[in-house]
Amino acid sequence: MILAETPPLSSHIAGWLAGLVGTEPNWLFAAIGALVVSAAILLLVVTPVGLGGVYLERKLAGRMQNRRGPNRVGPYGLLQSLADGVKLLAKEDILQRGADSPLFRFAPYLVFMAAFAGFVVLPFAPGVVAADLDVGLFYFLALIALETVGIVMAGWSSNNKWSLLGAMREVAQVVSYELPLGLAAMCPALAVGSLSLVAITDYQAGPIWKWLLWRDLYWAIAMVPAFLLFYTAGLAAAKRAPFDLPEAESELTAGFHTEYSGMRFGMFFLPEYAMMLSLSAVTSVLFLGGYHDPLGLSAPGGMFAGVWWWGLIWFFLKTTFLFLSQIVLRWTLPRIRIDQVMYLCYKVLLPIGMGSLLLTAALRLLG
Amino acid sequence: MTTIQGVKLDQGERAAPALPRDILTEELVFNMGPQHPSTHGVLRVVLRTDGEVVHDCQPLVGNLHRCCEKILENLTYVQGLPYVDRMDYLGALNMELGLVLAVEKAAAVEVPKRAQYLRVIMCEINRVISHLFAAGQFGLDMGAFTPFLYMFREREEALTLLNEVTGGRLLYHYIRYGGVTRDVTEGWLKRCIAWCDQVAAHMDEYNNLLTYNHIFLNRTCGVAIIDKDTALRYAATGPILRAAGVARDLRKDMPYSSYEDFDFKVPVGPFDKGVVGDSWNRHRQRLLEIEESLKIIRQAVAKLPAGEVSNAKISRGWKAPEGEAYVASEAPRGEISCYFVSDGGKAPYRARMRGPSFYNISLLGETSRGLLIGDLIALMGSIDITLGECDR
Amino acid sequence: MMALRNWARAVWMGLKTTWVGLTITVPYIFRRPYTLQYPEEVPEIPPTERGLHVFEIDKCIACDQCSKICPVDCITIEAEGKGKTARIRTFEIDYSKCLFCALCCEPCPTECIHMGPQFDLVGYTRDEVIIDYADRENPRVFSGEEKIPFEIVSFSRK
Repeated sequence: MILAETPPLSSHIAGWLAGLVGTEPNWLFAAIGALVVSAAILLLVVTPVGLGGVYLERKLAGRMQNRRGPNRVGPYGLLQSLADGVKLLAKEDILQRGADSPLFRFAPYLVFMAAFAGFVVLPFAPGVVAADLDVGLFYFLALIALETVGIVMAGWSSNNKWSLLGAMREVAQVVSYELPLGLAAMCPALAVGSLSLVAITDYQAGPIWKWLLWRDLYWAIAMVPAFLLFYTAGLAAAKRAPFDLPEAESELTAGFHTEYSGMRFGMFFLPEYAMMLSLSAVTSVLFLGGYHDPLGLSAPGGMFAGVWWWGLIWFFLKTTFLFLSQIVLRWTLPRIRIDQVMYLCYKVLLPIGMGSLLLTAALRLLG
Repeated sequence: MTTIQGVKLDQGERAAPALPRDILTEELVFNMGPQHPSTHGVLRVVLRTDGEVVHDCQPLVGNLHRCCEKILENLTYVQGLPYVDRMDYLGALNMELGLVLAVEKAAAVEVPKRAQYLRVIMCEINRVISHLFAAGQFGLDMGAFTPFLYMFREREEALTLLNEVTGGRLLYHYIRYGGVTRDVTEGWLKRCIAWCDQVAAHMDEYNNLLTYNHIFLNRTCGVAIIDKDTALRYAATGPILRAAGVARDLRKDMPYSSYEDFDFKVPVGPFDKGVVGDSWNRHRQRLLEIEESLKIIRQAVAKLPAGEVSNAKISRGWKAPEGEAYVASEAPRGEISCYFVSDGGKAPYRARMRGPSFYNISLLGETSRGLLIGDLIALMGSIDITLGECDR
Repeated sequence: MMALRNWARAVWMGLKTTWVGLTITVPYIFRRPYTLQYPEEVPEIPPTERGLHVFEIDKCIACDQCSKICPVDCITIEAEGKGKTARIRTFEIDYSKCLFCALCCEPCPTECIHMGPQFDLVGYTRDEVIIDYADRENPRVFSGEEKIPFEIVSFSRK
């Protein structure tokens, strides 16, 4: 993980590479250095987190259903996801006749990139953020939309009608949930006055009632609906049940990734969990104070002010809680029909979102 | 006429939609199954859709055809019985009962009362687990995985109970001509009642988790309505017909195997949500029938008379008297009727089983028009077909 | 106004039934799983189980009754002689055909064939599931010790 204050690791690598070749560091080495660092992050940090997510889901689903879940590979089945990953790598990569080869091959990478690039703007702990963009929230929402492109690409290029239907559903779903998702995300942004996730987090420094969800209690009337809204639309964005229509296995066999096998399938599978995690993380940043603890110890002047590990613990606790709640919901609810998704998004979530946005604006004006 | 893999599809009289000429619109032809997860086995359905809207749907059965009837004609009566199990493998005991009743009628065999009661107990346990399976499977089709496994827990206990008496867990070969193979013990009867209590206790769980879930209600209420008229026209039977508002249950209407001794109701749609004959009502119908079946089991256990469990008159060399016999009985999925003609030989001259799934599935074509694909899944799930019995 | 009320009720019902569902599923996380860990924990097999056959070769008189009643003709018997002095050369059961209907056990005059408790049999080829119970070099006996204590009502001994 790159600490924002320290000189970026990539420039060290760039310098070292330039020294190897014997020239001055230039943009080429800087680019290579940046690539090496991001690949390392992806491999060493994000992928284990995604694999852990898969494990958690399977274990929890098992226990909810009176089963045990994975318990064979490693202690408590902890290495099951890794074993599955190895299995996927070893499997045949099938490109079926009639598929649009370049698109078919590229789509999983696009989805993978879009899902994992979201981690760049997440403030994991005080000072631990890869890039504190001023438009971090906007960037994040844009990446969610980018993932859709990959999914439509996969569905279209598969030359399979079920995949095509899955892609169509994804498009129908994305135009429905994007609006409430954006509206809900605007409420905290409006309250704070910034789109930077770090700024939004630090605005919530202090004890639990400083969190935006119920900031000074009266903010709750605007923020609780916005929170539920963001959470629900986030489920749709992560294609989680009850909004798992694009891949609804009992309807469309597996939807857009029906034809994918081996690691290309894994490239769709892992980003789903990455998406869930990053959405949970953003939800916790927007409404639950991000890396701030409920007692206010990490607020400026507090005992743990600016301590990165303390922030990291709380960030992961909150994110994991939201992540687990998404899993629990998935294994409890049936799936919504596609027209009901649109009904829900346009006729239920959108009015609520507008209402809470108006309320937020009013509260901001008054308070 | 469009042809897909040898199947001709009737294009119908639908007018071409008025759209700008430069937009190429075509109907999609889907081949749903036999590997599709929601076709409950090896049903193949050819769909003609406009995007998600189903225009036409043609179920193609026969992938699991095993010539059951022809096999029955080539084996003696005793040998043929285990084959009947394999028709509706989820309601195997009820299938056995269908054939056994017909043969007993031809042979004029008197079945001891205790055997009749045991048959009722076993068949009703089988009906309960078949309905549990159907309800759970329906939930699974609607995307709710968890209730399915909760229902499997009860099914598992029931299978253990059945295993102890019959020796099999799925295919029982328990009901034989003239009686049943094995008597039950007192301890078994106690555990049977305990199991009934367990299922009854978990009914609320299923209802709260699945049946009355808002999403589930929205998915199934008013969806894929099979009204009384259509159901009767297609000779649909079982929960589908009853959910459509027709109180036809052969256990009540033409009692066999001492069903007249028991006090039970026949639930008839519509129920508290949805409209008569929709997917939700069919689902609810099954859950209510489970409760009625539990009532029957309790009564049968309480009243179980002492005595022999078999009147073994029909041996392996038995020759049926010349003539024919027909008996209809109520299996979990509807009426299972067995008809056979004998020329006095060791094997039936012609055997015919009328399986309910075959008739129920023919509803798919007419009912599915205009549904979304998601609704079609609801329709297929709520019809609850067993391809083994449909294709025979 | 009516529409608004229905709308609000629908939203409320959606939230409420979701909550009700969660109150059912979440407690299960903290309960004991129902499933058995199969190869380690073996389910209790009742003595009535109709599993793979148990064959008592010394009792067999090679009368061919079991093979005659078998609906799928999966039993092959080859023997020298008949009656008590018969020497069984092969007693093969083809488990890729067997229905496990237990009809073969019923007509046996010496009660030498039973259904045993073993329920699993695997093989890489179809030949591996054809079991010769008379193979003296390589005996394949499935729990031959156990007898079936339950009395089977025989329908087919006549």
